[in-house]
Amino acid sequence: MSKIIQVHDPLKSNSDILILGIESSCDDTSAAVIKNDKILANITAGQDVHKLYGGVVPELASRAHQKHIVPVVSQALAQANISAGDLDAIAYTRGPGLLGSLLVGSSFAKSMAQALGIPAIPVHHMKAHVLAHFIDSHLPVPPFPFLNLTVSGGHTQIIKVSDPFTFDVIGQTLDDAAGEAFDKSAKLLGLPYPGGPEIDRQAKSGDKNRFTFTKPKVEGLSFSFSGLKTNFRNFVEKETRRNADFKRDNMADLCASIQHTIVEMLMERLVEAAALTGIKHVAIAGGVSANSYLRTQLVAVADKYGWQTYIPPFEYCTDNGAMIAIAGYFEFQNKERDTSLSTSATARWEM
Amino acid sequence: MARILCIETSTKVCSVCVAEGDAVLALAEDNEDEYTHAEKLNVLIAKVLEESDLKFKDLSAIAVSEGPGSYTGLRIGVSAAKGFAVALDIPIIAVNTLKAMSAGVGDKNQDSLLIPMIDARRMEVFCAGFTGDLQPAFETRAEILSSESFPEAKAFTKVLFFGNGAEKCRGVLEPLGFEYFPDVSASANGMAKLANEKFKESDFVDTAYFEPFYLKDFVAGKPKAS
Repeated sequence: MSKIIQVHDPLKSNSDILILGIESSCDDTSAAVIKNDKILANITAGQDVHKLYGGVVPELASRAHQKHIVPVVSQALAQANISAGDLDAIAYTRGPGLLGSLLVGSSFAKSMAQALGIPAIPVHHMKAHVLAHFIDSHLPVPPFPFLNLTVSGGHTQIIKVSDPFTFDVIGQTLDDAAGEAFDKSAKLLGLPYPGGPEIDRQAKSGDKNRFTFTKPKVEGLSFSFSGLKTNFRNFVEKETRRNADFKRDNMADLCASIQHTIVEMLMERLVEAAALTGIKHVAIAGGVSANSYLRTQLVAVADKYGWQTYIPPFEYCTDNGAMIAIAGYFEFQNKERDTSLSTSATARWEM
Repeated sequence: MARILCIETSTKVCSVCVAEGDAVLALAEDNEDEYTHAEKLNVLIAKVLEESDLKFKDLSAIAVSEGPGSYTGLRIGVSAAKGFAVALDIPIIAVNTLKAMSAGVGDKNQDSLLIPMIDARRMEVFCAGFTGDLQPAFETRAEILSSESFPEAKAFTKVLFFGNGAEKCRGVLEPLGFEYFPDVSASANGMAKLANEKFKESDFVDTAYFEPFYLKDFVAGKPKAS
């Protein structure tokens, strides 16, 4: 797609660029092969081991990545019908994320690239979530500048994206992420981990206006979900003391109401951000953008304010190798990219 | 003759060498107070290949120190070994870290007991016992040091404690006939001969599913109430 290449120096060569993308920042091991902006393979191995604990256990995640990395990469290469020697570069998640998990993917990727004599490209996980919009999925691609709401289990950010390398975080959470608010609410209701998708499912038959919860007040474009979590817990515990079956009797309504509250908080900020920046191209990314209510609400709000909206296909919303590969594709064409062998994984990394 | 890249990252020392047969062609080590393996490993590997005038495609196998040791260090070394092995389509050889340390000590006397030890937390060490000719005397174990530790030592005329866990033994163990060499560290240098032996026997690990020798199962705490 020429419109992507026009953003940066056009490549002189007319040959295709093949990049392997490796993601291992949390509990999914994923590898993808991209040919320019088209995904040839995107393979992900999840980790069921954490379900026992109701959350990701870092040491167990690192050990599982160690067992998954080679099968996932081998399968991605096989499905793309290429061999390692055909690759032009290997992109990997450098951060942010769980350090032990990141070290598996980054050490593997750097070494594989070094042995093949091709560049290893460090990728910022949160930028990759946004750049997933540019994977050729036969969907409209957002024009620059656009606003992106990234919502996942670890992050909640509104980003102004001016080009593939310029990201301004104009609003973010001060405490919990929106995905955490979903997961923790689900856990409180006794739903299995990860609870976000379960809340979405239960909420479909519930009344979203049945219960109201206090939305924390924070300044500017910031978010805060920790107060909401406490408010929700206190309410559920109080009602459970009066009726031991309260949760069971009201499950669908509780799910619909908490989901409505969280999504409304996200939409309010997005409306403010659009008004403040005057940008009408609005995108969402991250695992929580798989939430069906968030998607329908975004469309409703967009209709009201005359926005164009962009939502990546589900497989590119959750953590995946494809978004690392597309980010690598942009970075590969960046003459000033990091080529040092000593670049290593980092748990924290500013946008 | 087999050309093997040896990777040792199980302690704070980041150490790599290229060996041809039993001979080490080039060795590079970084011994800092902090773990810098993720930054240094690939740089040191480029260095030893250049010094030995070899290319990656000249390698026959990758040897990696399997542990026991630092989980983070082992994670980096094993993940890197897998990356090289997949790219070059060559096998991985796993070398026991403690045995490689013993090979590096060079006391060949079979009446000597070698006890390599890696510092774990508090008074704990990861250790094993080998005779001077590298036959196993006792299995790898996690030992909480006390005056009762190492009853096996009584049967030997000379006992050598070495590695970064050895410092903690002084004053705790009976001093009788024991020698302490805390400065002896894990090094890729000690891996070369052992790796070559394994190469000749085609004693390779499964590249896909190989995991470091963690020694201890990881036990997560009980799930927190939300």
